[in-house]
Amino acid sequence: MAISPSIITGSHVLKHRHGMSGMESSDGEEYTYQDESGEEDVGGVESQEEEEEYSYSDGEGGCAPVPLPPPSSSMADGCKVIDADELRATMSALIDDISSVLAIHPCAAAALLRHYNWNKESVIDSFCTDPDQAKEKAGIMRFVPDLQTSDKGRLCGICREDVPAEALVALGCGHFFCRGCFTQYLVSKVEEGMGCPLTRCPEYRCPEMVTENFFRVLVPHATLAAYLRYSLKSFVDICSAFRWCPGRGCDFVAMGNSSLRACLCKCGMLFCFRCGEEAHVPASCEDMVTWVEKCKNESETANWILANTRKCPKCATRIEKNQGCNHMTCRQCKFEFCWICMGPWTEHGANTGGYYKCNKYDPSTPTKDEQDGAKAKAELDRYLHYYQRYDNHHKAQEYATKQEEEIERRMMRLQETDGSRWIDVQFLKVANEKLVECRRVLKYTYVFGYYLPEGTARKRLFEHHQENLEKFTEHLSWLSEQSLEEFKKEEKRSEVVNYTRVTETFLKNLLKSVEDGLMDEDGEDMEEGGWEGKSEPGRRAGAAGGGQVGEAAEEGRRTLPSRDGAGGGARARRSGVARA
Amino acid sequence: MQKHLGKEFRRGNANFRVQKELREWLANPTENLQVAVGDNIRVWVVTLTGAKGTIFAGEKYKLKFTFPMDYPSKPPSVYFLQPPPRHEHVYTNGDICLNLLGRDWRPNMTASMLALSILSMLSSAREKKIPQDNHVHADNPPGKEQANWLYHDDRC
Ligand SMILES: [Zn+2]
Ligand SMILES: [Zn+2]
Ligand SMILES: [Zn+2]
Ligand SMILES: [Zn+2]
Ligand SMILES: [Zn+2]
Ligand SMILES: [Zn+2]
Repeated sequence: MAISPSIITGSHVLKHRHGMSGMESSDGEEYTYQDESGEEDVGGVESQEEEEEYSYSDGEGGCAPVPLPPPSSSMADGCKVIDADELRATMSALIDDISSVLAIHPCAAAALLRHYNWNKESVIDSFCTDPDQAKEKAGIMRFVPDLQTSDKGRLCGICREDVPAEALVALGCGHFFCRGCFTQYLVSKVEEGMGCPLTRCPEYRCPEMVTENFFRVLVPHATLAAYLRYSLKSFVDICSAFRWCPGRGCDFVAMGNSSLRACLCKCGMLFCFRCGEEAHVPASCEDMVTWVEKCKNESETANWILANTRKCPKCATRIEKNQGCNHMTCRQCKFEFCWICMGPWTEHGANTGGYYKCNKYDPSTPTKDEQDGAKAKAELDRYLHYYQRYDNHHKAQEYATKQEEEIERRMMRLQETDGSRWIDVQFLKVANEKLVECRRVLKYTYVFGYYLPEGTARKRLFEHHQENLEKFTEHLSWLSEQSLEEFKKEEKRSEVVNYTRVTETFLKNLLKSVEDGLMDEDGEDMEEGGWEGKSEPGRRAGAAGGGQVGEAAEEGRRTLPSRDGAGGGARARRSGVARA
Repeated sequence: MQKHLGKEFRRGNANFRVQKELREWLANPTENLQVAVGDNIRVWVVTLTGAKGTIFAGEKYKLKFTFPMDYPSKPPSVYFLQPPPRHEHVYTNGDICLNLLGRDWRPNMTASMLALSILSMLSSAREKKIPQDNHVHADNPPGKEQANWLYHDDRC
């Protein structure tokens, strides 16, 4: 089903004020490090500068790179991350609480809690109002903690055989079945999955619940372990205060509330507490649902268009993109072009004065096979425009994430080649972490942008921010992929450090602007006039804070500890890490 | 039929229980329900004849029962072969909206109990009409697991 974006976005922008909590970084952060050289210094003539501490810290930013080493209990603005053991303890505490308040067996308390969706208050309310009704609903009307035994042989309703007394078992309801049949039934319930904590007596219409104790006594060890996992899983799924980390193979759980937009897991995954997906600022959870649905419907078309290889626009050699940067250089003819638009790269950079168009969908650009009045086609083109860029940043994000190990190796080699210390080569890691973050946000800017009405001042402002962030991200990506030989030069390191910082500024500007509803700095809604976007990029870029690469880099250079001040070559090498 | 009844199955095997049920069914024949079994003991075709004095009186319909390997922990798959009766709980693809076939199945129930429930469901109908939500479901292949079904009403 194709959804008209203009309908969706009608009221969208006004509502779009994300609580960006957890996504902001402090302004006054420092890329500094602890000076450990003091130990080696002999003779007490230490200059003032040498006493300075350079430590790596991110201020309180939740979106800043994952701090190293990871803290033992990671908190991202009110969101606590716990493991399965802590979770189990939380669940048990709740059960024990109800058990002691209502003076009932913990297994019965658990059944009540499950029935009332783990809401302690409704369990107590219902139980105090009408205990029999509450017990009946929860399936513990005739609860007994242990298996019942029979005084005589009976017909087992499952195998339909006459069974001697000693082979029969029953719940509190007294419906006897042979042990083997009962066990097989429970095992099959666990194999069915999620619903197994709500298994009832095998007898037709009997409401009695099979509580945990019976599973413990009857089923094999592995099945019991699976039962306990499902039991814990349904607890998390039902309680709104918990959310599984969506990270692949990650078993951590976040505790928080739905007003949280970003939760940082111990595994490094940053996710949205409200919807449980990867953190998706600036797009809203609702945008994401519609977008994912849309992508599912269009996936075949999109995949067809987005083949993973492209032909060099100049010599038609087939090129596979295997690095994170969109700046491609053909191996055959050395032609430099942009992976996204296939245009020459020379038309992209700010240094050439060219206008970076790669993030904009321009409906006036004629497409070869476009037919007049083919609205559906136009809509598909529009979607593909956004999807392609979304997908591209997604892949680049994955690439950058996978690079982490390779970067550690590069850091090691760089140290070996020129004797730098571990801390001196951190800039590579920091840059990559910033790249991962920018790729993630850029990816979701295309979801946000897709639902932002065309032709509005808001959209122009948004695309301006997006363009800036994209430009700097691409450049940072390209810079940090340079050969290690290059990084022996101090100015190359400084360049990476500075670009990391400037890129971060643009990231913050974009998120802040969306948070502020994409209004002009004066607080005016720029629906009419005001900011002319395209026609005056220079004015805007300058005013918006460091639009010009040179300017920003220049500013960065000024902040470096000077060679002279640091007192010589050894110290100078360290200044590859800039200080604010 | 005799070849199925003569075989020896181990207790706990689905065939063991199905064979027992088949024996019980044949020992207590019902006028309106006739069972036929082909090569596979776990696939039955039950011919249902509308009860006297009901709107389906004398009409014949065929129900296909398929017993899963973990029967009776899991319910059999049961649906009407074409053409199915026009009933507000029977989809035109043959599926039957019956809680006992999904959510409320318990392992001490039997195929004959299900067949009797379906017969009584037809008997209690006042008019011949298809389910309100037939259009949403009619194109699905019949007989799939009713794991997440919402039933029209508890009794059907
Ligand atoms: Zn038995
Ligand atoms: Zn019972
Ligand atoms: Zn995680
Ligand atoms: Zn969300
Ligand atoms: Zn080429
Ligand atoms: Zn481009």
